[in-house]
Amino acid sequence: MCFNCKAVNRENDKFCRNCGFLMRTNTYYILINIATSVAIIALIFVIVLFIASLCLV
Amino acid sequence: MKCLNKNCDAKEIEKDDNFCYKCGHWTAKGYAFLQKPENVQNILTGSSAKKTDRLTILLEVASLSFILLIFIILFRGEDLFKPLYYVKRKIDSYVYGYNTSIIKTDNIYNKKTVTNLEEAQKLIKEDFSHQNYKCSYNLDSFMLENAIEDAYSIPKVSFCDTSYKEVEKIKTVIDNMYSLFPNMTGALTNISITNAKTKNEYIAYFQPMFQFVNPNEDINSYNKVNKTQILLNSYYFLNENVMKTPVQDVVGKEWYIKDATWETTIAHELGHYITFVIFLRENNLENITFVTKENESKINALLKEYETGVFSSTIVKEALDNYNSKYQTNLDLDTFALTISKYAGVKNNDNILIYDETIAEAIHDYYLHKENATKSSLEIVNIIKSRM
Repeated sequence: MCFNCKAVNRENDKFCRNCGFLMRTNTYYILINIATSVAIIALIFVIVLFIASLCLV
Repeated sequence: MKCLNKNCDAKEIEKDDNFCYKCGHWTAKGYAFLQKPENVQNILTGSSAKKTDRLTILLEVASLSFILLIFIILFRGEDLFKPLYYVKRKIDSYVYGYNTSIIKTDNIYNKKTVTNLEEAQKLIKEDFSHQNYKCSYNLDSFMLENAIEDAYSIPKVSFCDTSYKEVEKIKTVIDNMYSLFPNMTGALTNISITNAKTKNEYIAYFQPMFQFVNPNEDINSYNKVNKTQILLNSYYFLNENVMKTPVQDVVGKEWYIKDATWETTIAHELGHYITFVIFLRENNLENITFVTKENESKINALLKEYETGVFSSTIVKEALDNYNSKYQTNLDLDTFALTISKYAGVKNNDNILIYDETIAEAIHDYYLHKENATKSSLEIVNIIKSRM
């Protein structure tokens, strides 16, 4: 299934037949999602660490 | 159907396909799709063929985090990581069941170039000041540390995480000891809170030599630096609930001199230090901080000799002779020592009196009771003062 338009494609299709989106494996999207979550958590952590360091003398 | 792209060999394109499954080129139907303005509008706004690339979002967020981290580190410096050490202290306190020190006092540095005593002392200061950011900052305690350093020429005094009230008590002991024995300045490199190997290992400890710079290097290539230090066990000095129990109740009645407190044990350790200073000076050395190829063998030989206890035994024996002569008694060494305290009469595994402890307890007694100290303590202190 195409991640972009949800159209059904064939197993070996490299591009979506409906929207032309580059088709990637599920593993790719899983890893990207995990990495994005980690990056967002890191961003929040840095901000929290900064605020906490201001509070702690 | 074949792909419109001449370089693509896709052959299984269906009539309903808008794009080639192999190269992504539009098909005839896809071209017709793109010709309609509403479809183009949808494409441009990203609602029909949106090309959201998760990888782009990841890279943007990661870059933002990294840039923000760099700016924050530049702005806050090492203080940025204070909360992490605060959490670590809390976790350690929970794991061990008592507060521990976050400072490492046994760091070792190799391949450092040291050319003189001042650089050696600077390395000792830096060993602690590089770790200062881990401590909870108390300006008043910091000022007291600096006052001790400046007044008594001790390169570094570190009471990291110790309460101000406790630091005041410790400073009082140090001030009083230096006023009683003003000539003991010169050899001590640091007084620090540390984590002993076991919580009950010691209350405070005088260590004549800890080689912390270039211990593993060839002396012909690198000079070395020793610490001559007094260490205070964090189990006691960072845990006021532990020190609520009087020291005599913990170590045993009459073990230490009468009226001893947790803080006055530092006077006992300074007593060890005083003996060491006398020993060094009688061997023409002011300190053993800076080690070169010229003095290394002498320092090592002296340390070995000091550890035999022979030097301390001469002081105690001379005091005993003076005592017996003055008071017309005939005490032996053991009895003489035990007149001070049980600790003063402690023996080693060979059943020989540990003379260092006798002297340290005598000085401890003199610190607490001045001219009202036991006569045996006064005899020892008289010899100490005459030799300083």
